[in-house]
Amino acid sequence: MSSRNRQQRQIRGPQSALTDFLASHNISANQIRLDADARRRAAEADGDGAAPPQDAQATTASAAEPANENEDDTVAALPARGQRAAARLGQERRQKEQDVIDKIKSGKKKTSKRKSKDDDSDDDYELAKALSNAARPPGQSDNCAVCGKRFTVTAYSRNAPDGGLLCTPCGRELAKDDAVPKKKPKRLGNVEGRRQVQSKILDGTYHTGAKSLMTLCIETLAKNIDLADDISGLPSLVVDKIARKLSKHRLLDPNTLNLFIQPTVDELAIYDGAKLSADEYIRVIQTCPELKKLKIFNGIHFKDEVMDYLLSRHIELEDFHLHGANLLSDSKWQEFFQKKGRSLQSLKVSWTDKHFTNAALVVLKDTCPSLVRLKVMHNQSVSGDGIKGIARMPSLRHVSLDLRQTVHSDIYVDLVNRLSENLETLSLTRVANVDNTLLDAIHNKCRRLKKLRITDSEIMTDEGFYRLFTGWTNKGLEFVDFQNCRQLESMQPRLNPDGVGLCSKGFVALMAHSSRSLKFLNVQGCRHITRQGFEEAFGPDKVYPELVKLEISFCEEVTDFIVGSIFRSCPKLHELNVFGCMKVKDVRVPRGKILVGVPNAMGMVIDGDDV
Amino acid sequence: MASRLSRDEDVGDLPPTNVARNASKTYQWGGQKHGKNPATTIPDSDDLSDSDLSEPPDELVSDSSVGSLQGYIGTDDDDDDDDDEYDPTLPPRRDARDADEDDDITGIDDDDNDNQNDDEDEALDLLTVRGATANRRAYRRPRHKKRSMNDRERLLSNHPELKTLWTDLASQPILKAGKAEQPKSIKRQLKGFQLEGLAWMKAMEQTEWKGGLLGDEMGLGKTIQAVSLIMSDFPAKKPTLVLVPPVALMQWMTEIESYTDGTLKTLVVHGTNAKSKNLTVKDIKKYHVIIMSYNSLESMYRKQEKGFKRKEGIFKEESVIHQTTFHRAILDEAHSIKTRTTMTAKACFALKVDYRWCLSGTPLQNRIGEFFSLVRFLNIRPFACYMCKDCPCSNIEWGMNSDNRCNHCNHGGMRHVSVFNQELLNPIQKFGNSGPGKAAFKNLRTMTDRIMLRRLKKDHTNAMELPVKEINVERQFFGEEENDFANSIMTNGQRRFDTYVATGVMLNNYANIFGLIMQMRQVANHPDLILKKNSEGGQNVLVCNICDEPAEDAIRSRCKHDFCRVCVKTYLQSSVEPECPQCHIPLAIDLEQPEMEQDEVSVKKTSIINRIKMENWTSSSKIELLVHELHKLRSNHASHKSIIFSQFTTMLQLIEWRLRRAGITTVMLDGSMTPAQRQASINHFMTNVDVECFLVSLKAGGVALNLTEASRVFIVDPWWNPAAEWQSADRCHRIGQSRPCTITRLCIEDSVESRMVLLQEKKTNMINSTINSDDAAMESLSPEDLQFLFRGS
Ligand SMILES: [Zn+2]
Ligand SMILES: [Zn+2]
Ligand SMILES: [Zn+2]
Ligand SMILES: [Zn+2]
Repeated sequence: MSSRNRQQRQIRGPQSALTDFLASHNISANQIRLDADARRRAAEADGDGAAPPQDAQATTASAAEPANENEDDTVAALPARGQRAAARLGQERRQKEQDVIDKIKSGKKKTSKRKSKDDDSDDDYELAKALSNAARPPGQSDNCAVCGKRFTVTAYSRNAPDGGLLCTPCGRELAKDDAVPKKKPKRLGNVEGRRQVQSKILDGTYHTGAKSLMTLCIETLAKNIDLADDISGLPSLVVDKIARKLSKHRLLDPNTLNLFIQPTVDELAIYDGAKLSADEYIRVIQTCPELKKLKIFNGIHFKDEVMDYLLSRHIELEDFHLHGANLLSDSKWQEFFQKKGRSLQSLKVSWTDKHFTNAALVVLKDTCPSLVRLKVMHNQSVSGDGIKGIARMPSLRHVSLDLRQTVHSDIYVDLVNRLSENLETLSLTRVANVDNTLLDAIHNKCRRLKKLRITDSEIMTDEGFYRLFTGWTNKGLEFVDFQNCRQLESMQPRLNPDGVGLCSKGFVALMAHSSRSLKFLNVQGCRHITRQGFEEAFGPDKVYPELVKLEISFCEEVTDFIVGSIFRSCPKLHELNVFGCMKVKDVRVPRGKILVGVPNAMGMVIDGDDV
Repeated sequence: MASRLSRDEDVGDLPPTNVARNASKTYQWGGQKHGKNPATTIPDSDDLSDSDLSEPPDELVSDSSVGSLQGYIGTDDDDDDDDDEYDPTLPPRRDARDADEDDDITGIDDDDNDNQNDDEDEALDLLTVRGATANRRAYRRPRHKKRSMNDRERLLSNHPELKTLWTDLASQPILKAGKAEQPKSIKRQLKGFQLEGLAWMKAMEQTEWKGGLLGDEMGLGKTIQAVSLIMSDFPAKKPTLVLVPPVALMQWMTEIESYTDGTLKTLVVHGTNAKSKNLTVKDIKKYHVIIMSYNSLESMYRKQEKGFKRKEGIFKEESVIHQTTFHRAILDEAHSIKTRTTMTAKACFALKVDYRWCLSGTPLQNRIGEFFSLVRFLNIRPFACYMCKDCPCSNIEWGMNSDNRCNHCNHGGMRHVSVFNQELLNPIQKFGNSGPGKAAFKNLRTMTDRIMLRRLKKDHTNAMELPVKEINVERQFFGEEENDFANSIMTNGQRRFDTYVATGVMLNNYANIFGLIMQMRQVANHPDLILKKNSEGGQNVLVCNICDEPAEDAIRSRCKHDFCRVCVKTYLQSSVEPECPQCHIPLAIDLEQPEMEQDEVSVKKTSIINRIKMENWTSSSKIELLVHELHKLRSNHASHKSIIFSQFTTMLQLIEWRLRRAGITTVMLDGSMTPAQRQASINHFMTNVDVECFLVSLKAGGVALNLTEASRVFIVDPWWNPAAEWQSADRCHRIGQSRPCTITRLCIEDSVESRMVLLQEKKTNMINSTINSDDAAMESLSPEDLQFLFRGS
């Protein structure tokens, strides 16, 4: 349980330096503060039910926090409390705190014993460690348990014998009393532990509790891969996990590759081909005649000679994913489609430099009748003409494009109009100049869409998004990504008179339309979604039963209260990203959930201490 | 009117042609065009019309416009490069400044956390230069055309070879040496063009020049070609001397080691290497290769020439390197001697060497005047010579006695001219790319064709097998509170700028204006860069390098890094060969030492992290933008490594700490590190898959880093000079890279940064000829540009 006191404004903290600085430049710090206060008051005034400020500074962080601290525990966003509030908290809290500390202490003892045997399983300790960070953050004010004076908790503050913390003088007294001055138990140099936890959270692989046996096995295997000589008997899911782990550790090389290329495999994923030469790829094709699915990342050495060899073999690929093969020429691609296109169902090509062109896509249209999924990413050659080719492939159900050439909205509209009947995935990344006509076309035509991504549009407007989601007969979307659809205006960044980008209206309409189905939502950088917009979308009556991952970084209106509301409205939510949401300061995170990117020194605050 | 090269590589294409090729690997999106500059332009004077500071050309223009024409060919902040002809009586060069310049080149920035001071100083420095030039111009007498005609005739009559100088040179065929065999002693397969380079180098050593300039663009493997050259006549009777910027010391060592499997006996001469103490000529001869930094050579030479002070007076000490005759000298990053009047350059000129080589990826990077220095080192006669107008005296050294008379012919110093300046520099400065200027460009090309081999990446992409490179701009906005603060800074800056304009004193206040712009740039990074410049108000507590918390019972290692006593104790126990978690050399620390005094003064000198209150600390939009990008890179099947560049050491410190708190393992290259620490840090990054980020300041990281394990580059704050950004990309986008590379520039849209980006676009052709020097690029901003920065219109 925490009552951090970090809600002081940035401007207040380093007051003297700043005030001096500003004064030396004839700027009144006070004016800035007054402006900020005025703005805050205005904000509070129009958010109903917000607590009146009891202390101007103390409430800034959570302008609209619920007034009642003992509110239902399901409201996870417990507000930061003011100093007075902190002081009011009594023994109960102390006891709780003490429990956590005890747990940590005992946990650590266990760990240090355990550590010698097994480095892998100190999850408990890490958990406790994470909790300890949350439990006793330095910087809060507290009253000394002995002398009652108020003091600032630092990393050095000592525990009182019967709960609570001691101020520095009392702490020193106590230290004298200790027969053996034990060194601070709180951190025994196990920082690696701390960084690891944070790192895993960043990875999205942070789990509470013990790792599954399979995870442990795979990790052990990946670490000792040089000892393994055959993994062919393992289920393909496990093999895939091992492959991923190996690549993550950059251990995939001509030797370890041998583990994966068995004559019987029909599915092969090379997640990091950086160390493989053309010969290795040829060997893969040679040894695995049954291949149906081939996935290669960083496959720079997948060159013409490899493709020639592939064309000479009786391999009929259904699923081909090639990433980073920029030495493979366009004519080889066309030859590939001509000779092997008939079986192809899924094609993903990315990072090809200029060697995957419009011409290739036009050939694709005539040679790959059963293609269902097409993904062309990080491509600097394909332009409108290529997309016109794609538009004439009625078999396509999933289309993802990330092109560096500028393509006019009309081309995309035509694509949607022609493919809409089957279209389930439409993903257009970095389309700065695409406008509302595309949204209208989607609204009018698409009925089966599940995944929609349109990013970085600088032209689409809130109205456009609102029209899309209002009365749209497409059933709810599962995956939505509108990141950075926003006004890019540097002179008057805070004004948005034309409602450019995804703003409140469109956002609320989106959430209403897809509330039951939405699993993944990214509205990062849609900075004109207002506080009211978020509060409405995540109001007390709203539930998003399927939502697992939510990305709202750089939506600057997001507050602690909104974060709390989100946790309440999204029971399945696993991860919430709030990078650059400067108004998120001190949120309690429910158990099992991860909040990533709180902009302070606490690291990724996570995994609620709230039971 | 002066003219300029738009990019260094354009020299390879003189006279101007279009070099846009489809093979260009650079592209980007969002309307930001910062990729390869497609057109080679040597702009005619119209292009320069917005540079109001420039002055009409006159007889003396060659040195008259230092300030306004910064960055154009031949003008120079080091203003006497082009002066010798007219004004050889200049006082000796400011040696104090030499050191600064060398720092700039070699990438050493002092152990100094306040970059702003640096930058201000530099701005002031530039200002001083401008003032000085103006004064000098004021009392120079005008030259009469007639007299110069006469002088020209006299010169030609005494030095008839000048009449046919260029036709003679042009009649020599350009060396075509074909392809060498793969040298057996080199363990790595050389690419085709590298074998061609090797053959060319071997052939050049057989010509009268006995060496030359390998000017391959960065990332084409100049080092391996040079090492192959050393092996081509191994074992030579005398050792080879390799001079490098300090950053590259250990890198050369490791590369030699790995290419030749330790065949070459190599010595690194550096203060921190015990073996290099009290060397004798005999000792040196025992080695095949001696590697040392320009700085070390400079200091040896200085001791020999100028001596050093002791209580009893000035002592001189012979430089053992200068006593030794070498088989071959190789100057890596040879533009380090671009200013030929510095001690560093002189120390190189004074070497006793049979074969001379310059390696430089940017041989003509700023000004043609700088090329002179390389020509001088290579002893390219008669171009590097000074010739007397009144007699056949011709010398490669400028030797004047105390009466300013020539040591050789006793004619006045004023009567001697530099062939290089006379034939190339002056006409180009005076006439740009027209008339005599055009002819001089052609002659320059004739010369470079014969002494330089330069290949560009884009012509060898297939041979190099480079992956794709993509350049992006990520834009975000200030948060509300940041915006309040930033606005106050910007409004204030605007107001002061307006005052300067209104009162007509803008030109006299460039230094102040740069200071204002600097603040606006810093505030876009994090307010602490301004607020925590000093220690006041902060907590002034040392931070432990293990737990990233305020150090408890702080103690310091020999490498000067601080730890909690408990942390470091545990850390030492947990590892067999513990290395310092900060600088990665073997950790040496006295566990029994008394606790560090945490007084304000000592803390002030350390990282900015020690000056902030962690518990109150709030990040900035810029930092969060970076952390977010790194977060997005996390994947369950790939590890991405990134290089993070910033101008500000303090910013890097903040970032490092924030990243560590967020669970991201980092390595930081810091200007104060010893070569061993640098190399240890580089190795740590390259060999440890968990280390995700390599933080490096623009100054410390501009050259010689080879970080092919990384495939992402983040440029935290925009630079004036897009060329420097391209160069940063070359840290990872080079031979050996096999993963697609992304260069991401972070920009706060509602700060001065977006205007800088716009201005860069507008001025790409104007600014990008200067590669290393950001300030020189800034110098070329016109009053309108400055106005745009402050007002956005
Ligand atoms: Zn003479
Ligand atoms: Zn003379
Ligand atoms: Zn520590
Ligand atoms: Zn160290």
